[in-house]
Amino acid sequence: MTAVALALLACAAALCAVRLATGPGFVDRVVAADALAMVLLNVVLTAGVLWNTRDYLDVAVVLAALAFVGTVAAARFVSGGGPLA
Amino acid sequence: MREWSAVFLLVGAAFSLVAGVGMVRYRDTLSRLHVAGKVTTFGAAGALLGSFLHHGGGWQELAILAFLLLTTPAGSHALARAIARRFHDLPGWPSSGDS
Repeated sequence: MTAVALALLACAAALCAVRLATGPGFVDRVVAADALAMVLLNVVLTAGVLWNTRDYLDVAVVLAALAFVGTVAAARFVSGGGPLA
Repeated sequence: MREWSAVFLLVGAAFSLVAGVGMVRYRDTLSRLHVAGKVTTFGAAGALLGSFLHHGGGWQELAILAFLLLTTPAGSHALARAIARRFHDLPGWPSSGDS
């Protein structure tokens, strides 16, 4: 069952990577990176269930924190005169 | 308990796939921000609940879920606010008045 979930998540990560590569603007790439971080968090949790270990939850904590900090840093950058589109 | 864990994992993965489709198919930056702010949070919530049920409880999943529910709207709002302020040529954040 986790294999099906991992296949769906691989498709989702590929679609987010498409938007990350071809996003027309800086903010589009930031949004795509945020969504990709959430998909990777999903992958890490599914892998933890697949291999029956709780060690990957620390990775999930760090991914969630880094996604938020990166998004807010990019927002400050855009608001302070950085690239908009 | 384990089968409910699989159900929650599959629901979370399906919502992540919906988020990926929306990231490609939506045309506007703010529309894609809408996808990245809501649907991915729901997918991560499904995976967190699945992991919580599979491992038989634990505080880490609930802590991550609370953190995500608090910070993802804040990050999306920060980005949307930055776009709106630049688009309407308004001053930036109150604490960064010199830039």
